[in-house]
Amino acid sequence: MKNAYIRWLREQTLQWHTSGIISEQQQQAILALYPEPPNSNWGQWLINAFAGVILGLGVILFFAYNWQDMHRYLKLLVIAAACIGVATLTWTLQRKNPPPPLANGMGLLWSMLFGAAIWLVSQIYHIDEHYPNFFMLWGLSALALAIILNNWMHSLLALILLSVWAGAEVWEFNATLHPAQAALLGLYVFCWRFQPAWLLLLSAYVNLLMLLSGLYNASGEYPELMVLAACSLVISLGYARGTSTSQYQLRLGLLYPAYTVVLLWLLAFGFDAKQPGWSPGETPAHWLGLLTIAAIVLAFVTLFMLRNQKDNSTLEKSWHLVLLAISNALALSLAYFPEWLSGQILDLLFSLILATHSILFIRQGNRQQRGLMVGFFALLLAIVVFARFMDLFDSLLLRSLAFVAVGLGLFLVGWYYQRNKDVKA
Amino acid sequence: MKKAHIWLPVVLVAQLLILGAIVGKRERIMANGDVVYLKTMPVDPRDIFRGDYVVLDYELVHQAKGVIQNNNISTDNPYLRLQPNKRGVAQLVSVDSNKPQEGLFIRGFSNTVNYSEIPQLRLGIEKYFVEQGAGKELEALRGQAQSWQTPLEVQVALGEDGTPVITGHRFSPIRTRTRFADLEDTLPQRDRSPQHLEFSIENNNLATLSVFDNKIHCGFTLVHAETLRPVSLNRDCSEAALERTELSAGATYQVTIDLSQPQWQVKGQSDPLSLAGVDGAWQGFRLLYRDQSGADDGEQIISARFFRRGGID
Repeated sequence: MKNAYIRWLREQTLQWHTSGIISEQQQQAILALYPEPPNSNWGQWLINAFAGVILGLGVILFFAYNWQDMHRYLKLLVIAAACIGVATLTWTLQRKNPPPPLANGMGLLWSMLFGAAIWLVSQIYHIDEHYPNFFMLWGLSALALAIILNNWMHSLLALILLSVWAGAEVWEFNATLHPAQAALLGLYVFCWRFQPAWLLLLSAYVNLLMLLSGLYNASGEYPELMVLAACSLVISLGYARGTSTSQYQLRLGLLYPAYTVVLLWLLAFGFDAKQPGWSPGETPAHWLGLLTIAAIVLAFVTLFMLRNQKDNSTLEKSWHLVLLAISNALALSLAYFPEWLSGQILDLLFSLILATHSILFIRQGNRQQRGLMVGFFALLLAIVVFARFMDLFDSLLLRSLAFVAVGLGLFLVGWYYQRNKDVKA
Repeated sequence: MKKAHIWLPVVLVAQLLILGAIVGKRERIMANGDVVYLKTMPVDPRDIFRGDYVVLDYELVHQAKGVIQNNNISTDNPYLRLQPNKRGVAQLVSVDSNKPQEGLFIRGFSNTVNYSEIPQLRLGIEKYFVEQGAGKELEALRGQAQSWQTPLEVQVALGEDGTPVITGHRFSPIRTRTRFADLEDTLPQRDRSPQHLEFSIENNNLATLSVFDNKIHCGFTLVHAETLRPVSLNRDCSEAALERTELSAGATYQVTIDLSQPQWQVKGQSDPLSLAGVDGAWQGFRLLYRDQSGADDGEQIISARFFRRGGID
């Protein structure tokens, strides 16, 4: 039980005891059922972490003074010795079981000292070739330490440094899909598996921002589709993670269904595929191809990871993920190879995917007995069929058959929902 | 992850190898590379991680931009072929897309976002880091706008792949002053239209400096401030002979140019325009003197950037 709840329980039982509702023995017996978790030394961890970061910044600023009387070899020797010394101390402390709070602070100091060394070297040799590269080296080093030490403070530092790297490449050097974004995505996957949900979410937003900016650089026009496709990739990963572990539930709640609907609606109805408006410019198309393949691979890897989970909810979510990955693949492929598929076929494909999503959500709502959800997606399904058949099919016979099918389907949904409700009651 | 700490030494070794590689390359260039001087025009800001530095704006980078624009050269890494003059100051010979097989050259970078028609080009040595406060001293020695200015000449060692490493600096033995003789600075800037540009060249400490010019100043050309490409039509100069003036140490050569004269007109849409008629008050110009005697110790001397409304950098 969380500390906050235990504190609340202690206050309440004290009040009950004071009011004469329970005896002191009973109060102690209740509290004994919920022991406090062992002291996690959070305060000490934080203080040490801040100390490490601030001390490291101090070293960077110290060298920024740029002492002319200090020979460059001496400067290099001092910073290298400091790096080696702190790294050795970190290693020694990390070997203890459990590592003391100081180990974390030393690890962060080590990261900061490596940053200081990079800036010092570039200062000594007046290097100004491509400054994001300094953040690349610093950020990748921080990422390596974050993965090895598996600590959120290191992950946060890596996230900040890699974000600066990616941001500089995307905003200042007009990159579209840069290896910096791959590094950020790597950090995101690491967070997905090992780090707290808030850091995962922060990492997701940074990834989104970078993808958004990069893809905007790539297309120049009609960026919304690219952005939505990129968003769906990241959010679907977060969603999948939410299904795979209960420990770090990422509470996306209604966000995911709403998002999916908006994305697919735009794909199905908001995009005039018959007259593709993409202007990829000089973007290397293979990067987008790789992203597309990555989306599909990630979706199937997730499916594979979830294969032993037998509950219906997980399987439904997995199917959402696969459908979304297919949508991504189609949207991105279309951006660069508009001649692949005709507009009508695309409209139909996206509509089918949207309809399938709606059916999955109806099924989920039925099982969870969420009437609003069932109603909303049933209505959406009806609208999709209605709109699509109006603009894709001329034959009144086909239209009527579709409406009959949807009408019957909705009756079926209503009956199924009621039956589930009765069974549960 | 239980025994993850065994990887920590690997990270340390990787860090040291990376730092060693960067340092080793620069040290090798400093020890063995060919040395030239690059003429610059500096200002003085500060970097949060590395302290004070002087921004170095290389003359030959401006020239290379003009060549790139003129020849439509498209590459992320143009190579600037150089030829040092007798004082060791590098002169631009050509700009190549591919790495030259021999001779002196610097590798440039042009992969920054470009919002204008002017090509972007950097050498990767645009920051000269100095001890805190020393940047101001360099700035003072360089001189202020409209007063005497002495360009900084940066000593650079060149690696085999064209990587430049700054190894020192000195001040040019030639200083210049650029100002408008008839600037009415009581008027609002939009109403100013000065015509008489005064450009002075002083031989600070060379034994002698030869200047080749004539009465209508055909030794000088009006150039675009960013690309140093000629913009003036220099009419009446094709047949005009240039006379040599010898400047001993401390002597000054001063020209006053009437920008309304046909010689300084620039190409317009249909007819030649005087500078006052050029669109865009932000468009900067420079006056360029290039020794046309053919002597291999000839100097190229460039004025400060000026604008048609009277602004001077």
